[in-house]
Amino acid sequence: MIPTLLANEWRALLRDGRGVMILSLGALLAVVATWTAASTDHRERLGQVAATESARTAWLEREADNPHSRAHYGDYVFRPSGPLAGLDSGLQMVTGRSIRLEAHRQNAAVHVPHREASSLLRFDRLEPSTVLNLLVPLVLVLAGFGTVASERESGRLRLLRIQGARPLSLLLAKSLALWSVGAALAVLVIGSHLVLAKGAAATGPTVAYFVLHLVALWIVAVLVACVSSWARRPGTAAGVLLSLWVTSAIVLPRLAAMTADAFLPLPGRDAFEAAMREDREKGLDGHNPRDERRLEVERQVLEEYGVETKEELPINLGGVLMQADEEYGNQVWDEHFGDLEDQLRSQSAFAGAFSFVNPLQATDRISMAIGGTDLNSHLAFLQQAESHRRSFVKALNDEDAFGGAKTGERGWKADAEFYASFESFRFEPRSLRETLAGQSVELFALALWGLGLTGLLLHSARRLERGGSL
Amino acid sequence: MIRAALGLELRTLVRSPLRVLVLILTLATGVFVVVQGQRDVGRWHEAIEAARTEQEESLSEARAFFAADQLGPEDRPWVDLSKARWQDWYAATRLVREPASLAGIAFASPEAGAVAVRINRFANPLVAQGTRIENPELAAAGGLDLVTVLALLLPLMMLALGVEVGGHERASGILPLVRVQSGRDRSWLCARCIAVGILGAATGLLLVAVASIAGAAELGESIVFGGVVLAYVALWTALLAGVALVARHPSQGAVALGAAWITLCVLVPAIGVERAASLAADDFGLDLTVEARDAGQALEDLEEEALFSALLERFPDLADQVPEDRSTASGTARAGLRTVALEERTARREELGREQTSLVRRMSVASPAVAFTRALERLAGRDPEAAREYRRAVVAAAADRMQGYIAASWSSDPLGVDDFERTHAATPGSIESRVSLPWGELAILFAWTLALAGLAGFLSRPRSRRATVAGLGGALRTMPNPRPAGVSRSTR
Repeated sequence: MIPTLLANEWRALLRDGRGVMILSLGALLAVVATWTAASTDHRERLGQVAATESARTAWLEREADNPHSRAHYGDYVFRPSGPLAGLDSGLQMVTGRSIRLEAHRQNAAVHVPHREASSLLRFDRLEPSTVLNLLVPLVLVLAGFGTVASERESGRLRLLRIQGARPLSLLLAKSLALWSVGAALAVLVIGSHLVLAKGAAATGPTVAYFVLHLVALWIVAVLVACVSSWARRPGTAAGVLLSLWVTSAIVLPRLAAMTADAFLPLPGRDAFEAAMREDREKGLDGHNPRDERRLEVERQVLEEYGVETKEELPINLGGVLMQADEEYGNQVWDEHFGDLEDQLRSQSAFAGAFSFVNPLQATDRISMAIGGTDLNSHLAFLQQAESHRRSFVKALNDEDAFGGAKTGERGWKADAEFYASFESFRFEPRSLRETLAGQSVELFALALWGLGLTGLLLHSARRLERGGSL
Repeated sequence: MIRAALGLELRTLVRSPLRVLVLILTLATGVFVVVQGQRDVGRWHEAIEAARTEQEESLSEARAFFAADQLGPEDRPWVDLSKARWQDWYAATRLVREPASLAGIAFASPEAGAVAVRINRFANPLVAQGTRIENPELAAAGGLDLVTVLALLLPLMMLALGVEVGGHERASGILPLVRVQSGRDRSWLCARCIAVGILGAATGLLLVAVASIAGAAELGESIVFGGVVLAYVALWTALLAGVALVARHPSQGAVALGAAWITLCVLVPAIGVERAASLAADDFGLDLTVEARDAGQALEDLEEEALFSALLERFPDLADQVPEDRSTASGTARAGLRTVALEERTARREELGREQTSLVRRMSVASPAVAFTRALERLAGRDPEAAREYRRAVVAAAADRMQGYIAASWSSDPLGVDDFERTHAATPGSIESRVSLPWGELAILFAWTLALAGLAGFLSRPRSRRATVAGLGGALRTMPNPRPAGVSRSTR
C-alpha cells in the first residue's frame, strides 16, 4: 500500500505545474548555491595558502637575526577553512582571519573583510547549508501544505478510506513522499559538492552531513504531513506551516542569540584588556609586582650558575628573564582568555538549548560542527595558534639565553639555519568523533524531535481515522 | 471607505486572539530590543569614558612631572619629557567616536571597529578593535535589533493581519455583495489593505517613538526615521493590495505573501551575502599584516636621499626644519614614512570597502529589506561608511601628530609644558558618528511601492472590468444565493 501511495504522491506532484515549479526552483537554488559556495571556498583556500606562504617567505628572508628582535618581528597565521566549509561556511564570515604571533602578547584574530558589507550580514548566505537547512524545508512546506488538507477538502480523502487506505499508511506515504523530495535535493547538493570538490571532500564528515540532513528533512516532512492532516483547509495548513518556518528559520535563531547575550553578557574589550594588563603588571595575586619577579629569577639564575654578577654568567640572562616573563604572562592569558572562552561556551550552550524548541537550529549547529566552522572549531584554532606562539617564543628565548650570547650582548644574532628550522603553523581540525561529542545536546534534541514527531504521526493517523481536523 | 475598513480591521483584530498576540509580540519584541540597544549604547559610552579616564591619567602624570620640574618618573630614568617622543607618549589624546542618538536601533550591526583610538605616532585604526567582544556564533545568527524587527517582523505582522484580504471575500462570496452595495470592490479591498497598513504604520511609529525617546533623538532625525518606516510600510501595503486584488482564496494569498516575503527578505539578500563572501574570498589582509610589517622593515634600508624626499613630499611644511646633519633625523623620518604608509593602506582598504558598499547599494535596489536595513543603519551612524569616516579622522589626526612630532624632534630646543599642552590640544578629542540621510534608500522604497501598486493595478484591471459588468449583472440575478457560481468564476 505505502509504495503505491508514495508513487501516487510523486505522480501528483509532477502533474501539478506548481509542484514542478517549486521542485525546479529548489533544484536550481541547490545547484547554484553549491557552485558559488564551492567557488568561494576554493578561492578562500588558495588565498589562505598564498597568505601562509607569504608569511613563511618573509620569515625566511630575514636570515640571521637577534632572537628577541625576531620574536618582536613575529609571525602571522591565517585561519584555514573548515573541512566542509564549501557546504557550510558557518562562522567564517564573522571571525577574524589572521593572528599575529609575537612576544609578550596573545593577540586576537583580526581582519573580517565582510564587515564592509554589514547591512547584508544580517541575512543568511546562499550556500548549500542554507539551501538544505532553510530553503528545502520551505520547499517541503510549499509542496506539502495541502498534502492531506486538499484531499480532505476535495473529498478524495474519504474516497481513499473507502478504497481501503489506512490513515497511518496514508500519512507515512505522504511523509515519505515529501521526505524523498527533500532527500533528492540533498543528494543533488551533496553530489554537486562532491563533483565540484574534485575528490578533495572529506568522506566521513560528508556522510555525517548527509545523514544529518536526511534526519532533519524527515522531521520537517512529518511535521508538514501532520499539520496538513490536522488542518481543515489547505490555507490554514499553509498559514501554520509558513509561520512555523519563519519562526524557526528567522526569528528563533536571532532570539536565541539576543537572549544569550542579554542574560550572559561578555565583558567589554576595554575592561577585559585592562584586567589583563593589571594582572600582567601587578601579578596574579595582586602582590607580585613585575620587578620583584624579575629580581627573584635573576637571583635563582645566579645561584644556579654559582656566580655573583650577571656579567659572570656564561649565558644571556636577558633570554631567561624574557622566558620567565612569558611564562608568567601565559598564566595571565590562560586565566583571562580561559574565563572568556568559558563565557563564550556558556552563551553557546544557552543558544544551543533552543534546539529543543527549534529543530532547524539543532541541525544548523550540528551542520556547522561537522563542517568544522562552528565556535568549537574557531576556539580550537585560537588555542592551537596560541600554543604555537608559546613554543615559538620559547624557542627564540631559549636561543637568546643559551645560544651563545652573553648577558647584555644585544647585537648577537642566531644564524638563518636556526630560523629555517621553525615549522609553519599547521591547524589540526577536530576529528568527527570529537565534533559530534561536542554537539551531544543538539543531537539529543534532534533525536527527541524525531521521536516526538513520529509519535505525532501515529497520533495524527488515529485522529484522521476519527475524522478530526483543525 | 478607509474608515469603514479600518473599523472592520480593528474589530477583526480585537476578536481574534491570534492577531492580538501577533501584534503584542511584535510590539513587545520591539520594546525589548530598544532597551537592549540602549544597553549597547551605554557600553559604548563606558568605553569612551574609560578611554578619557586613561587619557586624563596620562596627562595628569605628565603635568605633575612638569610641576615638580622632573623629566619623568624616578624609577624610569630613560623617560625624558623634554623630548618629543615622550611628549607624544604622554599626550595620550583619545580620538573617540560619539554614538549617534539612534545608534541603539542598529546595535546588532557587525562591529565596524574601535570607537576610541589613542592618537600618537603609533596609532593604527586598521587594527584597532571594537569596544565589544563578540561571540561569533551569536553574531552569525544575524542579531535581533530594532532594525531587524522593523525590516523582517513588521512586514510579517502586516501579512499576518492582512493574509485573508481579497481571498476571503472571493472564497466566501462577499465580493459581489460589496460590489452591489458600493460598485467598487477594488476600492474596498484596497481600503482594507490600507487599514492593515495603518495598523502596521501605527506599530512601526510607536516603536520609532520609543526608540527616539530612549535615544533622545532630535525631532528631525525622528521624523526621517518615521518617514523611512512609513515608506517601508507603504511598500508592504502595496504588496498586500496586489495579492488581495488577485488572490482567489485565502490559502493562495497566504502562499503568495509568504513567497514574496521570503523572496524579498531571505532569498535576494542571501544572494547578496554570497556575493559579498565571494568578493572577500581571497582577502586575508596581507597588506595589513605581512606586507605592512615588511614595508616598515624595508624603510630601514632606504637611502637617506630617498627617505627625506618621500617624507617631504607628504609633509612639505617640514622642508625648512630638516637638520643639517640628516643622519640624526633619519629615525623620525622613517617614523613619518610609516604614517604615510598607513595613509596609503587606509586608502587602499577604503577602495576595497567601497566595492562591498557598492554591492550593498545594488542589492538595496533588488531587495527593499536590504534598502530599509541600510537606510536605518545610516540613520543610526552604524554603517561601514560611518566607520570609514572615523578611520579617516584617526589617520588624519595621527598624521598631524606625526608632523608635529617630527618638527619637535628636529628642533634642538628642549620641550616644555606649553609644547606638551599644544601637542595634546592639536589633536581633536572626538568626532560625531556620521549620520547620513537615506534619500537614496527612500527613493528605492518609493519606486518599489509605485511598481508594486502599478503591478497590482495592471494584474487586476482587465479581470475587474469584466467582473464589474458580468459580476453586477450576475449578482443582481442571483441575489438570494450568496455564492453564485457564475459570479464567482467571473471575479477570478
